[in-house]
Amino acid sequence: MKKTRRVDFGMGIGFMALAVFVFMSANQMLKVDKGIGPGDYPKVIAAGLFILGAILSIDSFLRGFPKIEVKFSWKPVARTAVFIAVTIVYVQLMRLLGFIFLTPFYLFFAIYYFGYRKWRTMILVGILVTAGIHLVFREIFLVMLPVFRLF
Amino acid sequence: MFEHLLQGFGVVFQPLTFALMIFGTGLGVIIGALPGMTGSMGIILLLPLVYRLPADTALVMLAGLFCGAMYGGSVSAILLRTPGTPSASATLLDGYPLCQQGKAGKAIGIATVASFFGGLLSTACLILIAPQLAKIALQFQAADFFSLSIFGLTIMASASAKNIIKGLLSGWIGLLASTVGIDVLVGSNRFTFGNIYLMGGFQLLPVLIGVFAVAQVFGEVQTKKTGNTVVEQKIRIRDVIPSLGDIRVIAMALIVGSVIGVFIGIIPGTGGAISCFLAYNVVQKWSKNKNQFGKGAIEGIAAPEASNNATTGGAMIPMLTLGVPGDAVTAVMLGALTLIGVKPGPLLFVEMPHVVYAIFSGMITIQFVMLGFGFLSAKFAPYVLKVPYQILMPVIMVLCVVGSFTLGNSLFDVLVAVIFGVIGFFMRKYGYPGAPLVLGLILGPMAEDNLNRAMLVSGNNWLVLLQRPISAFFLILSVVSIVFALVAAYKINKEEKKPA
Repeated sequence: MKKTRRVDFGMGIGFMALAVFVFMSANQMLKVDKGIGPGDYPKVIAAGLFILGAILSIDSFLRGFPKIEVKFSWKPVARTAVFIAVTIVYVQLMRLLGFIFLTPFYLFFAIYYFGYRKWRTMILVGILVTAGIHLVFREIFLVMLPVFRLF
Repeated sequence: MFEHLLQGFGVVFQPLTFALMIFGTGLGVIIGALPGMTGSMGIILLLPLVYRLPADTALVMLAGLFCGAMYGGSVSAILLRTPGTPSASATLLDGYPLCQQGKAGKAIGIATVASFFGGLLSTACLILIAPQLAKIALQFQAADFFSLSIFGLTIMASASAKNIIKGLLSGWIGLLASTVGIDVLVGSNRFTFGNIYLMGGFQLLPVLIGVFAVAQVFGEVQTKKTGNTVVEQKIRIRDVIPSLGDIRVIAMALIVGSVIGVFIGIIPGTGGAISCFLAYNVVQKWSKNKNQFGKGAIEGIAAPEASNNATTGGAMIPMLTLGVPGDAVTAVMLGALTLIGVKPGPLLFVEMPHVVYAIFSGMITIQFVMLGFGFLSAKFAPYVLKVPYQILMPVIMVLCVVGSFTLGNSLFDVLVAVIFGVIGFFMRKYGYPGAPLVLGLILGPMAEDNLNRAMLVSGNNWLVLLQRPISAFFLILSVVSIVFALVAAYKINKEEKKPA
């Protein structure tokens, strides 16, 4: 089993900090005489979160940190980060460039990024999948996907 | 009951429902067969379609996908030695050796018949048990429902994670996420930070898409998975249909596997991955051919396959009657139900009996449809399994984007899906299961609403949670499930520390 005790320790501290923030924010919410107020339920959750975070941290600390745990490499992280960033840019640009114009390029990039190299298939998949999704969602589900509105 | 069932069949055999049931089952078989793709993801990909359909039609289609995916995992276990879903893990122990002997068709045929038998028996149990359990659940009061929500969350957290604390943390984050937005009790803003988009809270659909589907695509970026290498074998349909002699050999395995599957399925938070190994071990102990196990024994395929498919009906019992899902897939299905305005729980049997009986009749019909797909899958599965992941994953990503957009024609929902995708990606990486998070988001409002009502009725007496017998029972069960999980984790740690 992968040992992630260092990360677990840090995450536990993070959960405790989040719980404190939630509890303090909830404490400032409206109070009611009968039943539970808007802040009471989040406070109960925050208390549970704090306890669980503390257990996670203490448990990983008591077990001790191994000298080398999960071998950390920036390469796969960077690879995923780039893909996430491109996906966010794709979603944001869709407001201006629309679904049908932008998606073939996104698909082409994503397929290339995943390591596929048959150019003709990549172009065909990009165009056909976009057209297919557009047709199904617009004609059958009656969803208006974002359209080109740059000019 | 028979009258209701007949009415249910009337719904199932309407052209649109029947066509979508076949579509759902077929898609389920394909998704289940592709390693790394699960029934949860299949349901999520169908969500944009689901909430444009009548509730009964949508549910029958989702049930088809659930059963199809459970079966589909066996195809890749047999042909690739890689289970398509965790529930098919035990099938490869004898399925792949039989495939290597040039009998892939026979292995798929046995798996198909076993899945059919397990599915049918579990549907019968679902039809007999669910209405009775719903009658009992009608006695529940607010405090009981609150404790039931806590029980649902703890049992799923303790069963779905190797580390129970991480499972509980995941569920707690889901509960916390459910508090974002305008509070339903007095209408004040909670954790919205002045963002108008957050006032409605996190919508379930983008969160589901993010945690289960987008996170999976982000994860695959790192693996650089290509296509699958399928054992080349010419499979004829007639090789797939088992002989009477084979059926006689596997008869005991079918019955034992199915019974184990139904019982495991009913226990919330468990599922096919546990039942398949349990059934395999029990049948191996009782079998006359125990020496053949692991070398291509057909009983070794029949037991886990009957068992994992028998969990489908079992898992639907707590989901439909109590609103507590039996496994990760039914947790996602529960989310899908809430999206289309169906609120699982005892009142479902009173308010929407036509929906309940459409599911029952649908589950019976689905087993026959799956039998047909199973026999055909031997012929066509090798082609499906060769689809390159480098194409499949980007297409799924675009479907996720479009699927989350369709909820409210808003790109904000798409961003929520991507953000929860990132959260889900890190959760997977560090061993936090996604199902409790989603369950927390679903059960959160139910828990808060019922806690408030219990407090109003009791005059803010928190002891009411322990004074009501049903509520106390669920709270005790919650504690027991946590203690059991902690003891199991302690034993595993002790085993790991032992020198080899």
